[in-house]
Amino acid sequence: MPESTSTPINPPAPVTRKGGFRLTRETVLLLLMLAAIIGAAVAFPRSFPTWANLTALLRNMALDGVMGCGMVVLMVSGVFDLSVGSMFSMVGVLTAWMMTSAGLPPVLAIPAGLAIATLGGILNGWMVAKVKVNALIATLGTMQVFRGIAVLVGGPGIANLPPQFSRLGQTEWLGLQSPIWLLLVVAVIGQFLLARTRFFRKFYYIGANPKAALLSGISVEHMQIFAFALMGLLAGLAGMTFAARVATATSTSGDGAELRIITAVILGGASLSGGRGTVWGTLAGVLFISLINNIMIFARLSPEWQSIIIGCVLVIAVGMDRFLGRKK
Amino acid sequence: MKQNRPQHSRRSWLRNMALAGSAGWLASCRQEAPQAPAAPGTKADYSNEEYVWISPHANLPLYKAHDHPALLVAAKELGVKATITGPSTLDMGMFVSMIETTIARRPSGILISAWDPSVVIAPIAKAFEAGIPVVTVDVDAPTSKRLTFIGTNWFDLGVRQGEAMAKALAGKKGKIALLGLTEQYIDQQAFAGFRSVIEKAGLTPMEPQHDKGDSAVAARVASTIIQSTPDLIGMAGFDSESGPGIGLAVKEAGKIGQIVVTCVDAEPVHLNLIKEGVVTAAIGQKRELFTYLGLRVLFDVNHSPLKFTANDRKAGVSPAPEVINTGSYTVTRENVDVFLKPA
Repeated sequence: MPESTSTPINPPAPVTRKGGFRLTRETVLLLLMLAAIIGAAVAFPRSFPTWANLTALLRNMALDGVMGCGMVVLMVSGVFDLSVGSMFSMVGVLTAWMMTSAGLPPVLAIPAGLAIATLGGILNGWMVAKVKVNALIATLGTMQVFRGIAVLVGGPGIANLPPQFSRLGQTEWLGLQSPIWLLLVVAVIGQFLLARTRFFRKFYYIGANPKAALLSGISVEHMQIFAFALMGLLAGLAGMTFAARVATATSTSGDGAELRIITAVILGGASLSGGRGTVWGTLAGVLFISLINNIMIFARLSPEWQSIIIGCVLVIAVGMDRFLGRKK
Repeated sequence: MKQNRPQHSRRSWLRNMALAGSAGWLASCRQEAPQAPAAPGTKADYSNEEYVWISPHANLPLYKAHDHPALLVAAKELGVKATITGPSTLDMGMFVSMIETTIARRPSGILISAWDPSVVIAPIAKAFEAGIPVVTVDVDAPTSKRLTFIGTNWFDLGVRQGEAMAKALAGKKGKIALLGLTEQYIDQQAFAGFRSVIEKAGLTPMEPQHDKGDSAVAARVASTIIQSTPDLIGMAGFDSESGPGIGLAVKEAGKIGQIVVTCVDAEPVHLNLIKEGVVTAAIGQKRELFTYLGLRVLFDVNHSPLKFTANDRKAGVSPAPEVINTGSYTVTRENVDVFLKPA
């Protein structure tokens, strides 16, 4: 359907209230994190509140955060992508293969890998937006396909990656490793785009009411394809960065990442039905999960109890804003 | 007026198709008659024999790199068919279902990687009742009716890793972290073997942590353990992704040489870490032997002239060895160059 020539209605600005303190899911999350940090700092004063632990925490959550920035755009528009973990692995493997077996220099292999990632995202977007396959089914299918490609090409792993490539994931600047800087750049740009630009704010409108968005002149299909392409690109970038960081591309990496990231995005304030969510909220969600995992290992909890506790904490954190009577 | 097509023609078409389908299915259920021995001087044709390998995570990279190629080599040498199947996830329900579907096809033998030994007891019993020989490879189901287990003794593997760790630490005292797939039977065997050595050496093993078989998760868990354990002096990984993850965490924490790392499997990524001095020892498995010998055992069970009684099956005497321990090997900085050269 061609775009209407009439001026589209402005998408709704994020809800704010002048004056007063408002308990949103993000603020509840931040309060819980603060409580957890204080508790852990008191319980483990010598080892928890250290620069080394902080940088380790940030380093380990960085790539989930990068993918979370893509996922929040999708979820704001009312869909999600289950293939991100597989894309993460596949692009890392394909880029590594291009550099080792195909002999391409990193300066060519990296853009090629990112192009493959974007095309994978476009494929997802096309299936969901044009062919009207349910996002769950479409991306469940591509999740299997991408993982299969990763295993087919990568086997038990592709090692001996060129040092110029590995340096991209291992360089430190001001005491922080490059994945952390990547997250900061992606997050700042992402937050600005999602909150301040007319183009990206249309995703809120699509998520809130796709039919109204269409009638107001927003090309919902093109926007959805764009969102999936962006998600693919960010997942591929994260996968490539991880391969550089480890200096090996493994076909089993990223397994289960999609659920972790979707959980973090929801924790950070997004909704499965669309219409809300922010990049900062997503980062808070990713940080929260990483922090809880970090503290549970400090506390020497067994893996079984870790799973139970993380599940309970998630339910409590998400349930808190319902209990506090959050406005839709 | 439009003439109505008589209803019974569609009904009879459906009935005939159903009858044809049933006849076809019944025909396929007919058991193959045992093959007559080949005439002297001629080579017997076993091309109608099919041997099936089944495992969860059937597409695991380690399988694709080692187990599957060796299975196909054995099949080619023997002139039989080999089929590889199994769910691509750890879906035990699907795994059992696929074993039972395979049994219904009446293959000449089945190789099963048990993953969860208790789950395969019943389907292996069904295969036994159907006269299909079964061997377990890689992960055993010792209380099942399998004929033979071919694989690594994981307790011994843990002992080997413990010995490498204790040797590298040379009398130092402190804590040792363990990472792996904590709920897996073989990992638990390995943990026990590892602990039996390091506890005697005066070292303190920590509670094993789960790394979900993902090097990214292993790196995350390992880096947190490093930060939270000031007296950590060693880390041991027990699945193929543990080593790379631990190695990354040790490197990024700047603790190379301060924390001794040992791991399982000797793929290029592990060997490179040994070369860099990040990992002290990697314990390799001879995975090719699992399926190469497994198929040969099944073939011999079907064709060997050796008999122990007039009716071995009735007597409950297995015509195959109980266990074939394929052993393991240790790769260190001293011998890593041999392993880095292509075979």
